[in-house]
Amino acid sequence: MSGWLRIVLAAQLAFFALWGGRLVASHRDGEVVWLATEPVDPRDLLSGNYVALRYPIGAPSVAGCATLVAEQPAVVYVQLAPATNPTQTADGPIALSEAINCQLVPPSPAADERWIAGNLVPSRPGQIRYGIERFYVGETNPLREARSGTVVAKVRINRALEPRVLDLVRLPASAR
Amino acid sequence: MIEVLLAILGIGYLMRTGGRRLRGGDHLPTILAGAERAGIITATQREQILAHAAEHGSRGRLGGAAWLGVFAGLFVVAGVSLLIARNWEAIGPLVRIAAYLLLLLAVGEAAVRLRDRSVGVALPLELLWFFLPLLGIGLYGQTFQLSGDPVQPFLIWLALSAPIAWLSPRPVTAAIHTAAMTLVLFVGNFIVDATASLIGGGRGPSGLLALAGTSGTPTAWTLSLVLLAMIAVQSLRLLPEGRRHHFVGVWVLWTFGVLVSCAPLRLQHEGWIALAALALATLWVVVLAAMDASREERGTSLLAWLGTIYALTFGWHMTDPGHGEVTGLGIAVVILAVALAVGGAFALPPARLSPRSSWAQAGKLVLIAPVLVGMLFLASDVRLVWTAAILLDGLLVVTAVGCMWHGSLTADVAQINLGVLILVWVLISRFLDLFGSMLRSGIGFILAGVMLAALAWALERTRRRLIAAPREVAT
Repeated sequence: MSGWLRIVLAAQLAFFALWGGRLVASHRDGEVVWLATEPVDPRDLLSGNYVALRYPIGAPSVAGCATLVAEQPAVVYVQLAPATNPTQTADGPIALSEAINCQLVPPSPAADERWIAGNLVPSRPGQIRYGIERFYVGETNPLREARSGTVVAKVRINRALEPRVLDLVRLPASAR
Repeated sequence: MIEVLLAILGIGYLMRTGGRRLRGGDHLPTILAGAERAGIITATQREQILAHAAEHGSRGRLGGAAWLGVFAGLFVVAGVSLLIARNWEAIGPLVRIAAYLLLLLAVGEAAVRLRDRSVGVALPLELLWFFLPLLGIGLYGQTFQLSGDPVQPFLIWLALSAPIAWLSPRPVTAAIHTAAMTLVLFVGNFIVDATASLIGGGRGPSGLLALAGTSGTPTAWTLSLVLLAMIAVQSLRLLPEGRRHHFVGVWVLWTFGVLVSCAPLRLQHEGWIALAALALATLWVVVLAAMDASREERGTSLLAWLGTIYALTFGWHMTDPGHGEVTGLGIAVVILAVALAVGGAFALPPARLSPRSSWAQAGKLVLIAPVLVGMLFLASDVRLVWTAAILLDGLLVVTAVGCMWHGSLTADVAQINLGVLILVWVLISRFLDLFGSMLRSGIGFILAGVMLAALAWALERTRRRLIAAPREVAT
């Protein structure tokens, strides 16, 4: 019996080691984009220490995105383009990215194109979730009290077009 | 850092205490060795007793110390989680992964080495190991900002920790794993994800297992059925005797949940919902009776059956007959449940209900009657719905009197008490139903109080008489 248990332990260790390795490596050299956030009210206080985030690109209004409907969860690819006017943040000016196109087939991005993969929410036309709707914060992190809409998200997108939030940066009151 | 040191000291203290128990806790081998030396038993008998003790000893039982051990394990896991949260910003991802893998290795190896030792040490370690994969998934999720499906991490944890439950010499881990599977199944299938609605995902479950309000994906149905099958297999194989058949209740409740919430089977007609509830509750009682399940298991099903009937007695207050959309598949499931409940009750071996055959036949009728009465809830005339509610009230009274009478004949005090409880519950409910409007004045309250006191006195006197009666016969 101990032999079987050690096999189980080895399998668990291998699972977490491989998964951890993939997570460490997958976004090491991806492109960084900045995304605006929208207010979420009320904040979900029951679920612990994370900031619930909602993005304008979660419900893009551009043609080809707003009309996408899925009965079952489906992957959607959204093309992003930086806004022409820079946005002032506590860390300096940045260019927020906006959705300009959507498609259901995987794109072959040109060098200057930015694409991000998301999932269409079933039965909710044009609603897309990217898996970056939460930003976990430690007990001492000043962002603990941050709210969506008062921050912008620094997001890295890897070659598989999977996004990951790297940081949140507060917007000055005048820019909210 | 002080907290980390305190945690290490705490774990060290627990290990040391456990070590002491290991060295001096199990006295049986020492006592038997002394008995062998004194010539009281032979060496063969000593070995046979030790083998018997190992097989039938205290492994499956949990005393006070063992429960302390359970909580110790949970506290350590919670403490480690809090420490990680507190020192979150200072620890890099690689350090977190390495520390976690080291912790998993240490705890897993210690649990393997000490699994056959004192329960005070082995059980906390095993539980710590059992919960560590969940902690690891949470740690990775927070470290790498992974959002997404709220149910998937729990499914992965259940898969990773299932072998620990299956290979454990104790039923505790299996019981926790089975309960966790049930919780994940119901939350994943039916519970609304509030966060999803906040961030634009719409109201309703949004994970891999989502069934409520949707048609459910093939993956959701497959995983749900696999979980249901695993809950049954694990209950039958790993749970202590007397608690192995609770999975029937899980199946019944899940079926009802699917009927009232899942699009392809959905029933929105109150009458069909009532009939489904009655048929499934009766089926639960019948299946457990057929399996000759333990008193605890049958008690749970009986409570659900009585609760369903009691809830439907309030159909008296309906102002309109049942209405709403129904699906063909949903109706087919309800008809099947009705057929199985009625047919199963009819085919039950009489001894499963009572040692007296006439009482067993009466018991079958009492089981079948509510399902047949429940069909009146489908009527388009509300007066028939009221009739059904009144008949169910009568059936509850008949059940109560039957329990008291049968209990007095078979010297079963629990049955007598159950009968009295049902009767009191029904009488108080109907009293408030009929005379609730009187409770607007002081006089009304006084009269109501006096009547309830008289009722309580009469019932308690009857209960004592019934309990005393079989003892006199027995002596």
